[in-house]
Amino acid sequence: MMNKLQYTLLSIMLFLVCFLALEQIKLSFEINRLHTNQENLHVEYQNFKDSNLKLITQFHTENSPAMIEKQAKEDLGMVKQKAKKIIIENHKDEKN
Amino acid sequence: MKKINFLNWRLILICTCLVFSIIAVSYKVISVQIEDSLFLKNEGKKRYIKYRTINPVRGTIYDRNNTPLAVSIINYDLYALNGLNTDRYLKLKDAISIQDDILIDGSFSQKTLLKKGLTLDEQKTINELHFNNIEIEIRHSRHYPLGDQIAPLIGFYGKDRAQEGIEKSYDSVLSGKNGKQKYYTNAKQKIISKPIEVIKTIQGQDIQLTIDSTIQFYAYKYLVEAITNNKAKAGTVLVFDNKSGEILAIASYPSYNPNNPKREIQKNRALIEAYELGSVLKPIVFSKAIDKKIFSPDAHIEIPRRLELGNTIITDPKIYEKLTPKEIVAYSSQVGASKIALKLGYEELKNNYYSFGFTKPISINFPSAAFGLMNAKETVSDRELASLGYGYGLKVSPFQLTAAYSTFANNGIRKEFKLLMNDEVTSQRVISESSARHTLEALQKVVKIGTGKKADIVGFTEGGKTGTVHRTVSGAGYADDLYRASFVGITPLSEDSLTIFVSIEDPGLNAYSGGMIAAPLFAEIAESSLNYLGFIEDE
Repeated sequence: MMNKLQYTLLSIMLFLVCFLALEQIKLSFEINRLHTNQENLHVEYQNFKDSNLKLITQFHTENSPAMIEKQAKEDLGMVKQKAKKIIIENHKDEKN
Repeated sequence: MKKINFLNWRLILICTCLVFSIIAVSYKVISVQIEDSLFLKNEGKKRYIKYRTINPVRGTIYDRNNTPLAVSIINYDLYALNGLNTDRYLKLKDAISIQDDILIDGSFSQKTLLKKGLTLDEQKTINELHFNNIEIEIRHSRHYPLGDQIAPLIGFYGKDRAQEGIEKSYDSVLSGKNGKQKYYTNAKQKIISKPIEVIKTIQGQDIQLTIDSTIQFYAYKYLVEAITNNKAKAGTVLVFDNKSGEILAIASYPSYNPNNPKREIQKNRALIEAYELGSVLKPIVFSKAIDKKIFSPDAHIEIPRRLELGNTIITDPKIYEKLTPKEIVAYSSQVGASKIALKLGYEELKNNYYSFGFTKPISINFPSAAFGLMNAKETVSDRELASLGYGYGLKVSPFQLTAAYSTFANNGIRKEFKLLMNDEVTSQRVISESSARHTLEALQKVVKIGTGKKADIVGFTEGGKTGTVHRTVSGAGYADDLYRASFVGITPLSEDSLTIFVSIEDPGLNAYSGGMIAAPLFAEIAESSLNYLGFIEDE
């Protein structure tokens, strides 16, 4: 027959086992959550990287001399004026 | 009591059948376990292990100022997989506003594209729905921000492979290596595990070119304007930085829009074409004659009205009587150039062209780059030698000629020009420093008093040479009414300078000479480039 001390020890051990098992479950959940989080962050990082490249490209395209010239011509009407053709009328003929 | 007959035939038959059955089953068990084991294991794996290829992102091509010239954009496309029912499809449609109506009968029976180019928010919304029978697929698309300005140089990537230009020549660097992912499926082919990386994806590396997109813009813009104004068909412009040995711009017209799937590929005329360039080769011959001290650069030479070489008579449009070698270059005298070539001799002339890099591979890696061609013989007639002296009988690519002219700006040292920022520039002395200086003076005279007056740039010193040649038509020789007008110039005439080559093919108006068409184009490009690069006026 088990004495009181043995019962106590067994209870403590059982408690420890249960506690550790619960901790393990908790930790595995936590690891899983962190893993998913890391994966999400990686996806987000890739997306940001891609967005950054798109923005850099857009920035350079918008600020390119070709675009500036296009806007100057189309929006601001900064087109070099062509030489005007001046017709000099013969005043003598008018008098006659 | 009935006696049991152990030799009953039925009992024997059953026992025999049993024994054979046991043998057959045992044989099958052994054969399955040993002989077919590998095959069956593989067949089993095929049914529950699936592999997926992961395409790497293609590297970006940047210019010298980190302006993207070719970028790979990642696009996310939404697909409905087999089994996605109508309810879920309608929920998806509401959540991410799918525009196209798709007719389904109960559920999807095959993989169907629902929406192209998902945004980040749309992806999050889809993930929050936790639907099984959908898939977000990654698609890479190549984008060229400068479009037709630089298309013949950069080329393009299409139909899963690089097809032209830098994209093709540096494909192994840009493309990276495919990766592989493994995942498990159940009997219904539903994915039951997270993907496991089997082969790591190696992303494509970025490359940085020495090209300056602003100078490229000027080169292309003025080239197109000149071609339109002169009703010409084609043209090319090259801009080299003499001091650093870097290529700043390579423009070629006609061009194409690489972003358009229905593009019509146009060749890069600066790199893959070699042709007779005519008088622009005279300074190359002049520099060697001065280097070899065959002529004094400022001593007068008699220029006869007609130079008879066998059956050929060489004449100049004007009567000069006497010219110095520098003036021969300045006025582009055919008779004078012939006399220099005849005095220099075939061997010297030939070796001189070789040492300037003609008929040799160019220093940059470009698909189908032209080497040029010289019809090298044991001996040549005086007529052939004279024509070599004024630029006929030798095919040179614009790239080779521009690199050769930069030798004069670099005090007689020829550089192997680079297109990639990381590359090294090698150099080699070709002519003496004094010869290079005299050649620069001759080139300056071309603009001051000679055929290239229209190449004058306000505020800057410059030197250059005009060239006008009859274009050859395949099978018909030289065409009387087809011309190629060229100008190669160096500006400013100081330690830090640019070499600019311009060429216009088949001008349609009455003006067709290098001095009339190409020289003004040189001046426009040079002026804009020098101002942009912050050069200080020296004239």
